[in-house]
Amino acid sequence: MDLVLQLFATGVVVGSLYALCTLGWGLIYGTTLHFHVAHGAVFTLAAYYAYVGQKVVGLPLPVAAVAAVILAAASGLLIDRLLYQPLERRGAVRTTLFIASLGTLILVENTLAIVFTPDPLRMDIGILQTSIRLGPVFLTALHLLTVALVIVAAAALMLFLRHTRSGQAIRAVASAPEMARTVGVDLRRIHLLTYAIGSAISAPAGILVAMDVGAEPYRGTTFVLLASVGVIMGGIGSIPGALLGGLFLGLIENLGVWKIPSEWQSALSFGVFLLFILVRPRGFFGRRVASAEL
Amino acid sequence: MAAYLAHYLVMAAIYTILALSLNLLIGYAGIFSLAHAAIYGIGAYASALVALRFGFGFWGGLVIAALVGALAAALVAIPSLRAAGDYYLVASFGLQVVILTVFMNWTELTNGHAGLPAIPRPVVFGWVVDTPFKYVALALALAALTYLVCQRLTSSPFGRVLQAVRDDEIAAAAMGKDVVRVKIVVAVLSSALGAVAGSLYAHYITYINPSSFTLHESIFIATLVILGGTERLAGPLVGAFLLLAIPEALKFLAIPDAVAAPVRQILYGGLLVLFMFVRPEGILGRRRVRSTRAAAGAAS
Repeated sequence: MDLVLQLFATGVVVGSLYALCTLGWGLIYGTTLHFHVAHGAVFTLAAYYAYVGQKVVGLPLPVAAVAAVILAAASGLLIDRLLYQPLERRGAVRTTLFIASLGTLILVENTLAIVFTPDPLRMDIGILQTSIRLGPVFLTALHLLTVALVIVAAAALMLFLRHTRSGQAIRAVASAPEMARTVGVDLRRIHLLTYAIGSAISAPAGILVAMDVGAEPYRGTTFVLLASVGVIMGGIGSIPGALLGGLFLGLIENLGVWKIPSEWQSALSFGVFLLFILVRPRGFFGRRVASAEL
Repeated sequence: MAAYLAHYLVMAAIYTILALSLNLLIGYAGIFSLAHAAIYGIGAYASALVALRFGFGFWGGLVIAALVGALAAALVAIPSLRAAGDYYLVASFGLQVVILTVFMNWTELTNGHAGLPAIPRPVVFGWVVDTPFKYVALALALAALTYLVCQRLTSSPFGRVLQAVRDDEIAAAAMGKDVVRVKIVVAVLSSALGAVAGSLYAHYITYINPSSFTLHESIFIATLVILGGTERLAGPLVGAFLLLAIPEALKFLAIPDAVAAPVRQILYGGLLVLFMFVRPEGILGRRRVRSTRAAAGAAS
């Protein structure tokens, strides 16, 4: 029983990391309909920004982490500004945007691999390493921080989207872009804002993983594709859905270890995913997306 | 030098088959897949296993490879293409991960990371293909055959329905075409052909392990199709022959081994981005005539 509880706790921590990716990627996907795989590059860049901030520049850890989140938000915004918007002005179709996004992901990952080597680069996390005992379950302070951050991020995003003018404009663009434009919403500006916020939400996931096991150049690809799985399972355009989708993936992966050897972890989540889209293609809470929209 | 050239030609022929088959999906059906390396691997493992365990000959292995590849694609295509949209892209990534996990961890069947050695060389109608030069002939012949199959397929009534579905799904459905079935059929056909390339590879290299069939390999095959040119059969051919020459050309620059792989990847990634700006249809592709609905969507 203790083992199950430990696996459950680890599942919640890993699921929280996925949920941060799912929230950020899902916000961007739901609003712009871009299949933004270069989000993986932003996730990875955030980890290296934090590493450079602490180890090269010598900033204290919290300052380095906050600076990394801001730089990651700027990176996401620049990808929209310098890549997607010019392509859209040239009349690019969605596949073209996706391929450009994929190219950017490959470009960034491999550049990081050359500059920083493919090996994980460890950071000093000080007291966050302290292990904490909750009944039969052991976690580090970093793990608890991860779970707390997801709750804060999801709540903040929900409040922002509901109660601010910019947030309402994002929701308007997500549900009816043509209508939003007709009533005077500047689509380009809203897209840029969405990219900045979506990147800022997922960046902490990259930084937290780097704090836990080191910064690595190729980790973003897996995380961003898992985020897309989580978004579809949760339902496109739903914050609770994205949260649940991310948590669910972390839990299956870890609880699965109870009965199934750990090397089958990733196959297990995708097996469940394939069954899931067969039974409930619109996800836990989502709106159904017709193919003509995509 | 001659042996070197022979190896290049065999690999270029194998990648031509992979790119031609993936182009049926990306170019003709407008469906992006990240699982083609997994399908390629399924073909390689299936054909190697029936040869090693049951003594199947080359043709038998080829047929089994195509069948298993088609089955794997059907398992993923039926749920995800029914649900439409980007689901196939995500599901294909899932298939890629699951299949690679099977190659690595189902050790009783696949021998895990160690891989399968001593795969027999093919015997084609009594002709033993035991030298690289003979293999060039076999590989080029199969690539040419695949080309002809794709040509027939894309110019057939089915091919025209396929392109209609890609350009305007709703219009095709309104004309009474079963859009979902057309997509599932093309996904299955594309995978059957991709698996054939795997079989050809396994019997050529005579040793396979999971490292040849990763997500990066899937992305590489997609890169061949996109840069060569989608929607035109000669595109993937040009893509395969040109892009396979790049690593060979890089060998002449004195790049340290440790960075050679990332440098190559940076080149591919950069080319993908560059092409989307200057020539999204690829080197030989046809500029897509966009439907009014797609144009309206892009303008928004």
